[in-house]
Amino acid sequence: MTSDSISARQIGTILIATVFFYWIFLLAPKPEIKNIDTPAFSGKLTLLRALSGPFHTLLADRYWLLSSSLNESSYTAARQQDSTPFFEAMNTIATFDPGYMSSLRYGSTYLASIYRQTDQAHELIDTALIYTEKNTDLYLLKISQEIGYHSPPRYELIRQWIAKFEEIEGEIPDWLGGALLYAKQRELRRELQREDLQWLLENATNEIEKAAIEQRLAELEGRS
Amino acid sequence: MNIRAVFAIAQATMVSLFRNRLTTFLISLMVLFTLLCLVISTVDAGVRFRLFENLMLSGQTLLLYGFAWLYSFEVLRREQSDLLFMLPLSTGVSRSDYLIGRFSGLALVILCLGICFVLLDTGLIVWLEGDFIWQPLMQIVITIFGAVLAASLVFCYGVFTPAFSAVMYSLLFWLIGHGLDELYLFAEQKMSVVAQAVTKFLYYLLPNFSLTDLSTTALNRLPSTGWDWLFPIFYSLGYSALLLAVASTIYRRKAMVGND
Repeated sequence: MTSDSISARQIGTILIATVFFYWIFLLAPKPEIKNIDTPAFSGKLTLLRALSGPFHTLLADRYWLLSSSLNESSYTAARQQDSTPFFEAMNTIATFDPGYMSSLRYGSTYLASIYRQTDQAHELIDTALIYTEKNTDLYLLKISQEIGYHSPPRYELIRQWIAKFEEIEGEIPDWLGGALLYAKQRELRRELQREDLQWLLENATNEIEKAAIEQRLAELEGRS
Repeated sequence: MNIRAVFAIAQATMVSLFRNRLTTFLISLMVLFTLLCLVISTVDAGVRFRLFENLMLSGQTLLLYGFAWLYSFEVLRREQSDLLFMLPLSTGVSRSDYLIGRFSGLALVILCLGICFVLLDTGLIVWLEGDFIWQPLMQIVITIFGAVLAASLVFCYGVFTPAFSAVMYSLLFWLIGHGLDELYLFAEQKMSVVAQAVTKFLYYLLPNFSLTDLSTTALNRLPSTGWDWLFPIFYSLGYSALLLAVASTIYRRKAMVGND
């Protein structure tokens, strides 16, 4: 082996290495993960996910099976309880397997409907969006939670999510227009109910009637 | 490159590995995992057959990387302790051809076993789920190439360290490589601009095993493009070729004595 052939080989190796790294830097897709500013982001959970290697989805299943009855509560009892333990359990599953739609649907709907924590439901979905930004079902899930359980729905947020959905998917599904119309009509109906109850309260003849109307009003406000 | 010599060495490596007792042990583990998957296939974790697919993917990932590490350890150990290189090299085969031949044999064994997994999984999925679902199968294909990358790391370190240390280095880089996505995310969320730049550099420089992990997409049938599935294969092959080129350069100048 001559020194010339060695240097030619070395040059060849360097050239291959340069082309390889050029290719890696230019063509390599950026990580799937997205920098979403959410309070639900947990450094500890991220570390655990990193340590679990390729087995993070299996751990998600394990946590799901363990947590199937965790913190479940009745509608009335849940209103008095702290939703944080339930949120943390679901957030762990969302971190370990961000595409696990059954868990995300269950967790976010439970938080929004039973615990009345729509913002926490959105945070839970944000955790999944960090890892699977292209999963447009998650934006639809957020919009559904906002329309279904937040009164009145925050249309600015819904507009942002629809814009994001359109950016990735291109076209919004037909049912979304119907759902937004339903939300508008529901709010109008609620406003009319409120006005009626206010009128009844002002014209109530005795204390028993007054107490019943006040309770009904409080229930109506409580939905907001 | 003397293709005939490379092929002959690869063939000899394959035969020697298939005859090894390790193969019987690993195939027994494979049968055990398959039985476990079948037993657990009725458990519903929110989605039917999700747990079955999840356990199957995880078990076979573990086995494929296990194959890669144990086999490359076996090849290097025999190389270093029994001085196996003496006979082929004395016949005029170049050192790089010898190294490439050995690695190709190992890679082909991993590929053969991986193809067995894919065929087995195809049969099980079609039988249980009644449909051909390609995403979990593609994940196994990507894992095969990830295992080849892990084996090439062992080979790269094996040319200047003892076999056991080389496997440990590979295992360490595998662990770090799987956490690179999370490290990148953590740096974006919590670290300074300098730390973010360092993390990005590491993300591209180190063998990025997190690219070979599409289990979330596979299990949940998330939207994906063909490039999402092909890129990890090209990446693993490209990185393995680079490591082999580095190993070959070192091996050509190495004093040929046993390390152990």
